[in-house]
Amino acid sequence: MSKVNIFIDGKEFLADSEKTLLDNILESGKYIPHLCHNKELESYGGCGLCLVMVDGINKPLRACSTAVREGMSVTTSTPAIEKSRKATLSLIMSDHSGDCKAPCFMACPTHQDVQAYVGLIANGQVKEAVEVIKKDNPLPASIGRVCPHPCEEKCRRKHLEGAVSICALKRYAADSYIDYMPECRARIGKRIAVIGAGPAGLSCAYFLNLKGYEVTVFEAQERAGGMLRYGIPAYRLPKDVLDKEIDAIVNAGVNIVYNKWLGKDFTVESLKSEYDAVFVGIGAWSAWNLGCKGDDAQNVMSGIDLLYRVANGERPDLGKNVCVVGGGNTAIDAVRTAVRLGAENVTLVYRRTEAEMPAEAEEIRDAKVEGVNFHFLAAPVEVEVCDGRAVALKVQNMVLGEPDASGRRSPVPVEGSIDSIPCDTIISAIGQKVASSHIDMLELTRKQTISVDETSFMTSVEGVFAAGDVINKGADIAIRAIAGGKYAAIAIDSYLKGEAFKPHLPLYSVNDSFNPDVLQGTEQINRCEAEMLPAQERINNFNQVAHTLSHDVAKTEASRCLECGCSSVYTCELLPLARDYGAFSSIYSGKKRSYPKDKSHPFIVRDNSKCILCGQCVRACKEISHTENLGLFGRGFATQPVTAFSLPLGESKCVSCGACVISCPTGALSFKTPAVKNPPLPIEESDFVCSLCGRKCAFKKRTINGRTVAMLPEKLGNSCSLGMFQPVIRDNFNPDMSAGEKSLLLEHLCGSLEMYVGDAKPEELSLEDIINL
Amino acid sequence: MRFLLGYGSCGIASGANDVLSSLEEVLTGTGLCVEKVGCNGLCFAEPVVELITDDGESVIYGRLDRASAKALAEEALKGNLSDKNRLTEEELGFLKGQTRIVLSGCGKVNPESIASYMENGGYTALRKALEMGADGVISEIEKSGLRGRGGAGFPTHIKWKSARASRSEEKYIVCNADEGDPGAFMDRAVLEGDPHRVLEGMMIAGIAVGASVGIIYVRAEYPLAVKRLNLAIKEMRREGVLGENILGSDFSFDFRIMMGAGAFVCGEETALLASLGGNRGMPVTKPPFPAQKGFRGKPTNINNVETFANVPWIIENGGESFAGMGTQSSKGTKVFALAGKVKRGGLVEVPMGLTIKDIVFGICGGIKEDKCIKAVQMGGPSGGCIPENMLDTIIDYENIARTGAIMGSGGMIVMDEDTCMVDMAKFFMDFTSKESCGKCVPCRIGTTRMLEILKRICNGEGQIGDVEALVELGEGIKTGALCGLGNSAPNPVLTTVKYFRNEYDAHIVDKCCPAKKCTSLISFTIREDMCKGCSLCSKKCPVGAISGVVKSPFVIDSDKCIRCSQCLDSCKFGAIEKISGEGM
Repeated sequence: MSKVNIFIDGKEFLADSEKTLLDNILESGKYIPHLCHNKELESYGGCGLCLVMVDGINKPLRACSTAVREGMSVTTSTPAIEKSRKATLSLIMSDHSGDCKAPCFMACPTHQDVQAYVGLIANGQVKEAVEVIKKDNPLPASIGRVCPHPCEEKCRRKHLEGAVSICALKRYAADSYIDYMPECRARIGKRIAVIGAGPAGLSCAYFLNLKGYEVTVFEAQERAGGMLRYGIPAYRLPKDVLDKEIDAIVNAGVNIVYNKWLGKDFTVESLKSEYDAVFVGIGAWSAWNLGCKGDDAQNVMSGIDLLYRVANGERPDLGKNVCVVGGGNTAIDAVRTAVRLGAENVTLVYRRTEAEMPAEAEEIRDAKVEGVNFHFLAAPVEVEVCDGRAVALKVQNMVLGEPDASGRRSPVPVEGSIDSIPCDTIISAIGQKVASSHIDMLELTRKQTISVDETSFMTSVEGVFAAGDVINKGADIAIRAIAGGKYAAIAIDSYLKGEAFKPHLPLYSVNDSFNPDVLQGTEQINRCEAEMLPAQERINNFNQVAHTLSHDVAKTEASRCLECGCSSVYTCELLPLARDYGAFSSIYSGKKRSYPKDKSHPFIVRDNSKCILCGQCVRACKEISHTENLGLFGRGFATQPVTAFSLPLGESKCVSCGACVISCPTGALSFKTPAVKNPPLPIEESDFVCSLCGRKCAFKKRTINGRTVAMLPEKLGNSCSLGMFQPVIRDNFNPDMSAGEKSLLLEHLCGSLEMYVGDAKPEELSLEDIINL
Repeated sequence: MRFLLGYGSCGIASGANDVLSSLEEVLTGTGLCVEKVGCNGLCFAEPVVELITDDGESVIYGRLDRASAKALAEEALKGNLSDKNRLTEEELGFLKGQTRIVLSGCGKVNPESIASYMENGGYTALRKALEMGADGVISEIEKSGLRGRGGAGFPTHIKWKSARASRSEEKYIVCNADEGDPGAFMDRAVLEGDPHRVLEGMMIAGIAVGASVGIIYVRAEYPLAVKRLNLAIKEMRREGVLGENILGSDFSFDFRIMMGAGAFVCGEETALLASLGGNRGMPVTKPPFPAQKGFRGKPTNINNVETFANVPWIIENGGESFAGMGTQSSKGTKVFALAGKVKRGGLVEVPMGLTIKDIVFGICGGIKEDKCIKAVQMGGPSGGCIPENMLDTIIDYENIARTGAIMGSGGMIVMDEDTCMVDMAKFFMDFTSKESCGKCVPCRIGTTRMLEILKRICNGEGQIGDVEALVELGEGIKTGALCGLGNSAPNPVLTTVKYFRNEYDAHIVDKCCPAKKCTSLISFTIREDMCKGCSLCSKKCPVGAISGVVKSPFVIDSDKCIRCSQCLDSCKFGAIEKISGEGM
């Protein structure tokens, strides 16, 4: 080994002339981006990220393929080089069909790690699942009952038998550990006022409390929960479930004061002067009137008014005929509540058709089962009043015309076609608005909601934040209020620390051109739904209609998850670089290569859609395991690494040494364990010395919650099937595996054994023998 | 009297076998025979026969078939030199304007006979080189100023010196005969027409660098070249110019032929070496250069066919004579393969320093149908477009590079007013993106993205900003790509953007293809005032898009029309119009 002096960005460094310039730069402690280099493999020069300028040479050189010489002076970053790195990373991202996170995660307003908790449920690790859920959602048992689940809309299992019942699974896990609370950080001595103990306010309070803030919530009602308590009927969300979740938040340190009204007992301004920051989450509690003649009759009420009274224990007599106007979830809650209050003829009047109804299909289905009539394509034109009481609703019949701005077809009146529906009570459920007259200081939108910045949730007044139904577009679903509370809490934390506001999500690769054909061959398992009370047992009480999934059903249902999100998201080398350089795939968008996953190998999953052609697997297979089982195939854009004869990896001559997986910088090659699912979770790494043979190789042991999920030899050259996979199998052994699966496991576990143990005879060993070594 | 028949792949493809059998029929029993020679470069006139009379007069006949060949032979035997099929003086200007070194034996010597090569002075250079020794040879090459003819123009003597300086028991000479540019065929012509010249050049290089094995990496698509090379090597052994102690010296040399599987990138020297080694043809970064670590990790000198073919002449005539031709920086001659819309396409060898116009209009007679020239594409998919107003550019490595094109292997594709420059750029980008080896990101993904943009521009879906995106990507690929393929792949796009930006804008903004070439942007109509109602067009139309009543004007249903242009070509009254842009 001969040493030479080189200069890296002007700093002298004693370099090893037998190593490449890149390895020397990295050894000097300087990082420069690289994705195709491994010091144990032959230089490649594929990714083109490690460009440097060497004095005296007028074009950039690839440091991975440059030798060092005495006196060499290297510049590792220039504007031109940074531009080139960004362009290269953007090109890589433009052809990276991977989903860093699953579509369900991306669709959820509060970005719960669905794949992680569903996977944990599938593995029977329910407590861990709840820990994951409560990182992003303070009220999962409640939300698991009422959420319209946008996540399931995006679930790719939808292309097969139906989406995974994500919402029901969340409820199952949350019910199992309803008192669980994550640990709070130590108090940091800052005080925050939260106005409103609805989903937005509770969420904001919960997350600030976790971060160590002292939070006081001011609630106008006697109880907390907001619309979850007063707007959602008990047959959907029993109040004791909500109580338990709120109690857990209170027990964790959040202080709630009740019967305190904004505009009466305090103002935004007064709180702002007393607290370090203020959060406004007062919701949208005023209903729109029908807006037609006679709508002020005494037996005309709003949907939320009815639900509020029932939530407070009243059981108003609505008479025999009840007419509810509206097509949203509140309208459905109102008709189903009316049924339960004893009305005989309950009719929902909606100006478009069922297809355009904003209410959830499941809710509409349940209302139908419970006997509600639907009168579509009708708009109220007059409440017929007799002696101050409404006796009928006159409706104008409509037909659907051209689509409007929302894309829904607008109803157009049919001239002269008017019906009259007799009724004892008319309920208007055509929308809610903010009771804005109570709000001081803050700038409002045209809709009289509080105007906030979409990222920081800060209002026009610095230090005052708002989220939930009270802001911007107004009333929305509960999970969006929870998300608002969460991201506002993060923004408040940034604000008080003087940091810049962060986007809700960092850059992730998203496979937006998913081709369902790649799911062919997936074993059919039908979607499991929660058991429901029969209709006749529902209609005269407010008992909960849907049951929580049983343990076994939940496990089966969770096993349906396709694990769309990348299992290497926490170890990926590409993602942090793409983030650093702002390398969005949209910069050079175009066709992406897409291939089905190869799950044939018991320890290794291949997903060539994520391959960036760094060539490390091919070189590792050739130079480390000497099997040359992997090679590059095809030309140009269509190039991909394949096994000899394109066999599935599990059927190829792979010796399972794992060197390819270790060298893969993305999730194109990833480890899997024998557990049912491999939920991607943050990984801990520790040093470990393998004692399975005399070589005593040093490893980095990767664990999740104490379970070994991967073993990485410190030297690529020490890759071996036994050392790498025995601890993983031991910690994740799934006793339900079939004999065939077990023998495949054994065969691969001993794949490269002879490279190290020489006289080992795998056929004489049993799987149990090896696991218990 | 001698009958020399052009019998390269090109001649055979255009009917040389028919001519051969016809001539042989006539000559049977006369004691005369047909000599099969290589292609003399008169592609525009093939099949070609050169008749040399007993008093040495040469008459060239072209565009022959069975009957005309028979007739000319019969007349010749009677002592008459028929004028039929005889190339005109004007056409012969094609040859007269040339100075041939590399092509000097093509069409003259019998490529399947070492004796024929030797009669024409073959292997005297080898003998001389053996006397000169390595230093003498290298100094002669240095004096000649010979630069690599494969495209990059790297000084040959530096390569040789470097390989000579590398210490190793085992060294190799590799001939890069992986000619892959669309439109370039000079290497094939030399290998098929005068293989010994290349082999002799390689052996001289062997003397210079101290190598004893020569490997010819030739594409499998050139079977005739492979056959003739094999035959040549066999004959060389027999004649003692190959093997141990050649011509009584202590120099030993042998050849090996390796066939490439047709990957364009294998013309890049490091990819070629990888392929030679049995690996996937992918380039690696340099250094180490092949001269230090090449085939089997040993010092290897790689030159192109044309470079080697220059060597025997230089050794025989001296480097100074070679350097007497050409320009300050680029010496000697260069072979160009002329194709496209030029009147007389074929192989042209001229001294460096002529202008492009001299070649296209002087030697090759200008544009077919006397249309207007638009541009010349030089250097194939790695090269660029040189517009009409720059045809006075002097041909040498530096001047061509200044235009944005490259000398490359010498392909010249001549384009007239009917060529759409965006479509042309798309064609080359399609080629390079498919031929990318897939190793480096800028080339693999960048060329694909550029192609996607070009496709959408040609489809009339171009967006404002597309040209800027092309330039940004192109510049990025040029600097970021690993090898010459990627470094030069954007050139056709960048040069057309530079010189024909208006055509890009017309496609993008006006949705118009000025050359009326891009099918998504054109339509066909029938002019009522000119249509006689003959119904021919409607009969020709393959999709039944044209209808009408005989003797009254016909109409084209634009929705059905597939823009095949058959109606336009068939109309005798000029009633069919192709339109693009406004009015469509």
